[in-house]
Amino acid sequence: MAFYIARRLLATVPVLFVLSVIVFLIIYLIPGDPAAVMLGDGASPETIEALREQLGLNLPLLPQYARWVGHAFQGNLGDSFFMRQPVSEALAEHLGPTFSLAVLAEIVAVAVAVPLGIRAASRQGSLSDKALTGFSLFGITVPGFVLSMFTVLLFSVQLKWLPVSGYKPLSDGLWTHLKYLILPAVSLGIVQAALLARVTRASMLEAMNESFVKTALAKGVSERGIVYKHVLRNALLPILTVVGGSFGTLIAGAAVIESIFNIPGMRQMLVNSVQRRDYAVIQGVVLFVAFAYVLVNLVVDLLYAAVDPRIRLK
Amino acid sequence: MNKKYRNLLTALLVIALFAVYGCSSNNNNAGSSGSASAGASAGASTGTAASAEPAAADLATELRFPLAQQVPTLDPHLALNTNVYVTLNIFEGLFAFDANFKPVPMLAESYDLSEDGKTYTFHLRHGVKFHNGKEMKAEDVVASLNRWKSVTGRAQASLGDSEFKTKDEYTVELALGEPRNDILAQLSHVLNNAAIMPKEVVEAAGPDGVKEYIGTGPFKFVEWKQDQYVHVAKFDDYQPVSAEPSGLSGKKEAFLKDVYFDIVTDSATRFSSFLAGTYDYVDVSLDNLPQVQGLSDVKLNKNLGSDINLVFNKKSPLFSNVKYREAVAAVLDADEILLGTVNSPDLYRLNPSYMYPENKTWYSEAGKENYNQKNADKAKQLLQEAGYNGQEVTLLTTKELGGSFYNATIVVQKELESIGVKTKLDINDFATLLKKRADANAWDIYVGLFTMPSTPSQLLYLNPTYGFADDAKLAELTKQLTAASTDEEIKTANDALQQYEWEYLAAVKIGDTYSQSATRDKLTGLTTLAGYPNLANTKLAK
Repeated sequence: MAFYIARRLLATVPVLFVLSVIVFLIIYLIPGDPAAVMLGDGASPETIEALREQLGLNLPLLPQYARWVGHAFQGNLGDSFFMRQPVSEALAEHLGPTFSLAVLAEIVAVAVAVPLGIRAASRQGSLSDKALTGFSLFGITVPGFVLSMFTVLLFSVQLKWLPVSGYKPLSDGLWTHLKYLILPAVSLGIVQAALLARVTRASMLEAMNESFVKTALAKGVSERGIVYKHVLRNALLPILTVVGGSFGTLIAGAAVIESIFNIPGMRQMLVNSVQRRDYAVIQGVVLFVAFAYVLVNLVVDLLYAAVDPRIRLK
Repeated sequence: MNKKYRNLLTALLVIALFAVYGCSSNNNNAGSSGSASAGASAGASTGTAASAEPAAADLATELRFPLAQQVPTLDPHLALNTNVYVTLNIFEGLFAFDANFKPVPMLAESYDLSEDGKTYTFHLRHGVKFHNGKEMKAEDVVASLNRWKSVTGRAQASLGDSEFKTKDEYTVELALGEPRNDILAQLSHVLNNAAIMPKEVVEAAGPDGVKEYIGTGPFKFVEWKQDQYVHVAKFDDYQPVSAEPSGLSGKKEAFLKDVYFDIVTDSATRFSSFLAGTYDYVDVSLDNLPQVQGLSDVKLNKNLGSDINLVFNKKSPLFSNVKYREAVAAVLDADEILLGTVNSPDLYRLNPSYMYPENKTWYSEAGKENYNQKNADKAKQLLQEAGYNGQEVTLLTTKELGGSFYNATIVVQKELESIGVKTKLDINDFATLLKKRADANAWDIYVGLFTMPSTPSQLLYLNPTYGFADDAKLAELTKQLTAASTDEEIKTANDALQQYEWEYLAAVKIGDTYSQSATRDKLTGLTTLAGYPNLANTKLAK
C-alpha cells in the first residue's frame, strides 16, 4: 500500500507542473501591474519603475518562470509582494481558518444529510421523504451567501448570540474558536448537505433492493439492524465519494462566505491577491489547492478499501 | 487487513490535523494579543446613554474602526485612500489642514518666506518625540521631505529640482527656482502626506516603502496583520500644540489606548457588525439608511467626499481635437450623472469649480457658463463641425471601489449615445484600470472620483501623466497661479486658470458628492476632513 500511496503522490508532479505553466501564463497575460497597485495614483513614474525592478517584473516571461520553478523545486514558493512574507508562510497562516471552516462545515453537512437520507430511504414516499426532497431543493437553490446573511441577521444582529464576523484561532479557546465559525459553517454545510442527502437516499435505496436484504429479513434481523448494519455499509461508497468531493470544494471554493464573514482564510487571500496581482501568492494557492484535491481523493480511495474489504489497492 | 487500513488512516488524519493546527496556532500567537479583547466589545450593549463630557473612568480604552478596503501600504508618503485612515493618526507633517483646507503649523513652529517668494524657512518645534523616543530634528525633516519629493508625482511637479536643506538643528530651508504659493498646501495634503519620520527609517526604505512605521502622531503603530487589521496604541509622550482642534490641525489628545482598524470589505458585514455593536462608527449606504434612521442612539453624518470629473485622453485620435471635448462638455447633464452615481439628491451638489466652495482661497466660478450645459443640439453641431463619422469612443471604468465609477460612467455613456456617439464600455478590475489609464492608446474617456483637491496645482488631470494634458497655455497659467503672492494676484490668476480649463477641457467637472456615516452617541469628538477620520480627541463612553 505504501507503494500505492507513493505512486499516487508522484503522479501529482506532472499535474502540478502543467498547472503551474497555465497559471503563470494566465496571470502574466492579464494586464495589471502590482507595482502600480501598491504605490497608487500619486507615486512618481520613477518610483514605480524602481519597484518593478526590485520585484523582478521587468524580466521577460521565460526567465521569470524559470526563476520561479527553480525556487519551487527547492520548496520556496517565492515572496508575497504585499504581505512581505514568504508565500509558504502566508499559506500556512491562512490555511488554518480555511481548514477549520471546511472541517466544521463538513461535519454539519454529514450530521444533517446522512440521517436525513437514511430516514427518507427507509420510509420511501412518506412525509419525511418528501420533506427531504424539499430540503434538498432549498439547499441547492438558496445560495450560501443569502443563507449567511439571514443567519447573521437572526443570530448576530437580533439575538446577539454569535459574532457577526471575524475569526479567532483555536489557541484562544475552543468555544471562542467555534463561536466565530458556526454561522459560516452552517451556511456552507447546508448547501453541501442538500446534495449529500440526496446521494445518501439514492444509494440506500439501491442497496435495499439487493437480495442480501431479503436474506437478512428472512433470517429475522430487525429493521434497524438491516438499515444500519447491512444497507448503510453497502451504500457507503457513493456517500464517501461525495463527502470527499465536497471537502475538496470546501477547501478550494466559497470565497464569498470567507469574505462575508471576514475570515482570513486561504480563499480570501487568493481573491485579494488576484485583485492586487500578487503573482507568487496566486500561484502558491492554486498549486496548493490542486495538491489538496489530489490528496483528498487519495484519502477517499484509501477509505474505500477500509470500508469495503472487497476493494484491494495495489 | 481491514484493521490495518483503519489504524493507518487514523494515524494519517491525526498527523494532518496536528500539522495544520500546529501551524495555525503558532503564527496566531503573535496576533492573539491584538484580538483577545474583541469579544468584549462585540458583546457590548448598545443602549448606553451618551453624555456630553464623559469622565475618564467612564471611557472605554479600545475602539474598533472598520475599513472598507484593503490597506496596501502604511508608508505615509505613498498612502492614498483607505491607507490614510490609519496613517494620518500615526504620522504628522510640518503643516496640517484645518476644517477649511487652510494649512496650519503642526510640527513646524512657524515659517518665513523670503521677499522674492522663493525661499521658505521652516522653524521646527522643540522637544517633539518620535514613537521610538528620539527627538525630531532638522535632519529627520530634510531626509523625510526629500524622500517624499522623490516618490510622489505631486510633490515633484511642485518642487522641481529644489531640495530641503538643514540650516541648523531646528531650522529647515527650501530654496525654490521660482516663487510658489502652494508649498504649504502640498506639505499638508493627506494623500501622499509629507509626513516626518526618523532619518534612519527614511534611509532604510526600499522602493516598496519604509520598513518601520514611526511617526510623531498621537497613536503609535503596534501591529499590522495583512488583510485583517492594523493595531495602533496611544503614544504617551505625544506633544500636542495648543491651537484649537480644527480639521486635522490643532491640539490632539488620545483618549483611546488601543485602536484596531479592522479590514471588513463586505459592506453588509460592516453594517451588521455596527448593528450588533462591534463598531460604533460605520459608513452608511442608501440601502441601510432607513435602518440607521430607526435607531435612537445613533447620529447620521454627511461628509463631503469626492468630486466627479470626466477626464479626456488628450492623445486619443478623437479627443486630441478640442472640438470633440467641447461636444462632450455640451451634452453632459450633471444632475443626471450625479444622481445616477449616488442615487439620492441629498448626496450631491452641483459645483462649476474644480475646487470646493469651502476652500476659500482657490474656489472660482470662472468659466461656469460651460458647466452643466445639457445642450444636445450644440453638441451635435460641434460633432458635425469636427467631422465625426461614427468612430467608437472607449469609456474606461471599473466596478470596484463601491461601483460609483461604473455608475457615473454608464450615465455618461447614455448621454453620449443620445447625440449619436458610438461608445464602448471597457470594464476592468482596478489593477487593470491603472495599467490601461497610463496607456495613451487604451482609452478615450475616464469618469473618476477624486479626493479633496486643495490647490489647483494638485489637480491630477492638469498634469501630463494623467490623461496626457499637453498645452503650453495651461502650463503657463498654472505657473502664474503658483507664483502669485498677494490675495488679489492669486484670485486673478486662479480665475484665469479655471476659465481656461473650461476652454481647454483637460477634464469636465461634474459635481461634488457626499458620503454618509453613522456614529453611536457614545462615540464623541470624532472629526473628519473629506471623510478621513481624525481619532485624536475621540472619546468612547463605556
